[in-house]
Amino acid sequence: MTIPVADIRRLTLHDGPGTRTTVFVKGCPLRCRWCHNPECLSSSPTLLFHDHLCVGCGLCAAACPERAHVLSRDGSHSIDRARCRVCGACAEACWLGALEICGRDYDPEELLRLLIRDKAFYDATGGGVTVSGGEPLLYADAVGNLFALLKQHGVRTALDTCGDVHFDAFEAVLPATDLVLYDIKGMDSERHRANTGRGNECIHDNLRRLGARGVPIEVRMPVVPGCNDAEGEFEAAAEFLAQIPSITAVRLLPYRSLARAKYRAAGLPDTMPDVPAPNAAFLEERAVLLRRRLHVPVLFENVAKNAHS
Amino acid sequence: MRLDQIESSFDEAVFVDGLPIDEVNAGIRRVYDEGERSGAPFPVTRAKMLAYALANAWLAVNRDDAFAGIVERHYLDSRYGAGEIARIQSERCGAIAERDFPEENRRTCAAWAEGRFFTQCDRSHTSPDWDRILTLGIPGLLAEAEARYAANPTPFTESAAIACHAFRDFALRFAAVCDREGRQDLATELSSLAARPPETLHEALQLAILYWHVQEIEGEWVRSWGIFDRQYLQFLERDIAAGHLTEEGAEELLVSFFAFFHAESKGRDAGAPFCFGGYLPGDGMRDGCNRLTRLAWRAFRTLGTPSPKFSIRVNPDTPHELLRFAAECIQEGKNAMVFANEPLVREAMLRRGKNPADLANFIPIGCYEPAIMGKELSCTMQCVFNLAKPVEDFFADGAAAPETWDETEARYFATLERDLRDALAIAREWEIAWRDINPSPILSATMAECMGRGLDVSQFGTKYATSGVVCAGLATAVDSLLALRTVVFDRRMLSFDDFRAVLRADWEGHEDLRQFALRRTPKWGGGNADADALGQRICDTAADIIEHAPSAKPGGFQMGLWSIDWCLHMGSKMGATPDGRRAGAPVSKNSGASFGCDGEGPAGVVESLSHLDHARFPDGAVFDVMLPRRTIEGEVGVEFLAGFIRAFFAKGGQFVHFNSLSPDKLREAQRNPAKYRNLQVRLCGWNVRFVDLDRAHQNWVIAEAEGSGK
Repeated sequence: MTIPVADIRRLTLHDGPGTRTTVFVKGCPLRCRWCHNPECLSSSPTLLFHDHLCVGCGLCAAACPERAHVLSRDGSHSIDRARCRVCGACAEACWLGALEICGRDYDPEELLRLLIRDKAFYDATGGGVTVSGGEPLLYADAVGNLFALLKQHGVRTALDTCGDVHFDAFEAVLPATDLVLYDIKGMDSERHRANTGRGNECIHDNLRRLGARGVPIEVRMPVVPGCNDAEGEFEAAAEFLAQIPSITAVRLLPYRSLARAKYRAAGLPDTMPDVPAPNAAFLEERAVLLRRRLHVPVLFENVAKNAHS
Repeated sequence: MRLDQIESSFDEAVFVDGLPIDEVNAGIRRVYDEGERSGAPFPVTRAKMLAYALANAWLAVNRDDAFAGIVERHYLDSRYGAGEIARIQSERCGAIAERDFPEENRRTCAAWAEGRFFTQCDRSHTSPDWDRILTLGIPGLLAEAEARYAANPTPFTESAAIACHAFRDFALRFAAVCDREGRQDLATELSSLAARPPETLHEALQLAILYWHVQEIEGEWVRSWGIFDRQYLQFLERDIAAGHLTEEGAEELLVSFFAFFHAESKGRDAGAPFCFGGYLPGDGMRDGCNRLTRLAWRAFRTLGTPSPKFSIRVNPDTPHELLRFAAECIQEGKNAMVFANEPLVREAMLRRGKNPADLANFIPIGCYEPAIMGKELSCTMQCVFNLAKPVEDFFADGAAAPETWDETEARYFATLERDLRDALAIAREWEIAWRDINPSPILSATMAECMGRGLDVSQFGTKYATSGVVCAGLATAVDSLLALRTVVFDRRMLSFDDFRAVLRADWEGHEDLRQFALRRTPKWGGGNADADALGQRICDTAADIIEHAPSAKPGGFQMGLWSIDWCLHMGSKMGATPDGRRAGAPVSKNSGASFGCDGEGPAGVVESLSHLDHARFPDGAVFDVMLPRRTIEGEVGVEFLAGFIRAFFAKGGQFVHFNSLSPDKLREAQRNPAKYRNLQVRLCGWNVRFVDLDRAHQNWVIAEAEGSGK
């Protein structure tokens, strides 16, 4: 029972209360156009190529058993990903860290040893551990096991989920979960499908069930201009979320197209919308729509006042 | 009065009393020569030099000054090094070293010329007993000195009596100047202070300013202003109870006081900390934060200058609101502060045999070196040692190539031990030389044990006497050794001799290998178990040697883990090192990671530091936390900073302070200094205006800022 982990970020501040460590798992059922962690989409290890670090030395090509690295005479370096088996030989050989394998399986005990190192920070700030991704509930048993171990050590836990899983997965995790960070990416199911590859029925149904169980939930809503930022979306969201009694806060996450280099590194087509970030005034307008129906804090992080809407 | 007006009141002061600088210096020299010719004991001569300087230094007072205290010191005292007193100190240092330990002195000069270590007669890291100064006042100190002299006329008691007389006469002289310049209010106050202890907050602060001048003109920097909120609370309470002062009025007074202190140097002299909080004396372990703490911190925030610098003794009972307030100041770029882990420092002091009853008076001396106020001669920079230098010796001409990693490690530790023992042996000579170079009558007169024993502070008359051994460059040492292991022994990428050639060429033509060394080898502060274990072993080895080395002082040598900006000099004298560092670049700063090598951010450095027993660093250990701006913004940032301090201390850290700087903004400040006149940075254990730094220091700060952001 292992969890494929893309990254472990220490001292994070925006994935739940207090100072936290966030574990990013690999694998996700959705394909959001604006995804800012594309290296987490696949549950398998991903070869990342940071081309700005490459000096064309050829050590990777020499090490690769599949001849997947192509270095041309003009110094350019490309990867034939169809040949690549992600064995890691090239990353091991690369002196400069231009090649990197993203994704390593951890069992819960091993993760616990890493996460517990920062317990002093959690204790001092009311923080804890957040498992995010990707979609943690693809590994519900292992994550549930990890959370149980963390609780035994007095560490608070948060689950950051897209919600598009069978509810049984929640059952495995909830007994040791203090907070669920739950993504709502749109109210219109067809538009949701166009934006994420899946409809939203299961997601909304699971949220209702969590609410009925009284699970503390912080709803997180990415705000992506032209995709899910229409007034009607937020009015509908307000209507829907008002029926969920255990929501503690709603947080708007303004879109930023900062992850393009990650798509390039992972060899994935860049799907990020070419739109500017929403500004503070726009976010406030949308927050107001939510606040009309909701009696919990509706928050958004500081954004530039002069950003475009 | 606006800050720039207060600053210019010092810069443009019209001195109205005293002799021209050259005449004062000539007079000091006359007093000294006469003493030497007549065979007078040097402590007595020293006191007479002080008396002459105080009687003749230029003084000024302006119409709007909140305190009397503008003294032309730049050509007088040791802080600025240009005056006759400083020259005489230097001459005596040279002459006594040549007389008593010439070979050792040449060795230390040679060692420092190659960035290895230096030892010195550290004259500037001891705190007076502020409690006694404020309780006894000038007449109390004078009466005690006179009584001791009458009962036991020795050179020391005579020198103390002369110095205290000079202190009183200085106050009266300043009173006369104030009277003449139409400042009868200050004249009356100064006359009162010459006759009795202070009774009001204003009087107490005025006395502190006078004493500050007197001690620094004598020749020792005032390296702490004591535990401010405890020492001055009685005066505040009394003023408020009597209706002389409101809290608002007290806050304004503190702004003026701190501004006055700031204006004298504007942060250009490393400053001296004002200490706050911490457990009160007695058995109850009650934290001492009080209303004066809050008023002083509000004044600090209002002022927003690089000096004064504040330090907080943090314990589990420290009010969270104070840490939050400090965090808000840091958010605003007013970060002239350091936080001390009080329980840890107490543990370190107990292990060194200090009396538990004295621990309530521990203060950071200078930057972050713990000592007992008024009871400890704590030469915290008696020796400065570069832990990274022994790595370079592998690559010296004629040095045989080590054949295994075990041999490499063994040779590093053997060189470390050899150099450290050599440095400590020379440092011991300086300990003995102190009494012939730097008798300190006025400083000694504030210390009860010195007066009781009839011994000057330089004769170790204090209750405790210790010598600090500052160990720097830990991360460079660890990273270099492990890079050597990775490249030569683990991955066999190069032979040792080839690697030596690469380093000799300062990585020229081998940038790819340099990047490998920077990015792919284990780092101190990078969450690597091997690096953490090696760092621990280096520190334990150094501490073992230091703690047991023969010392002339009863308290012996004690280890510190910090560098301040000595790491620039050390690096400037070193060639390229296997960790990817280029020749001449600084070695790592304080106890932290090499810039840009904290692969897991501050949590990784904390993790590395948590492997060290910080109670083995009674001479201090500090972590410089450089944080991206976004991390400290808003309410989340406030709680993060406050929590970081608590968490770092829970993990066993000793001192911590913070910077949040944008490299782009710093570069812009280099280009347009006038526009960024007030941009301050926490350089080491002190703050400076960035534009006041020389180019090398500015570039160093930029490199540190660029290394953050993870």
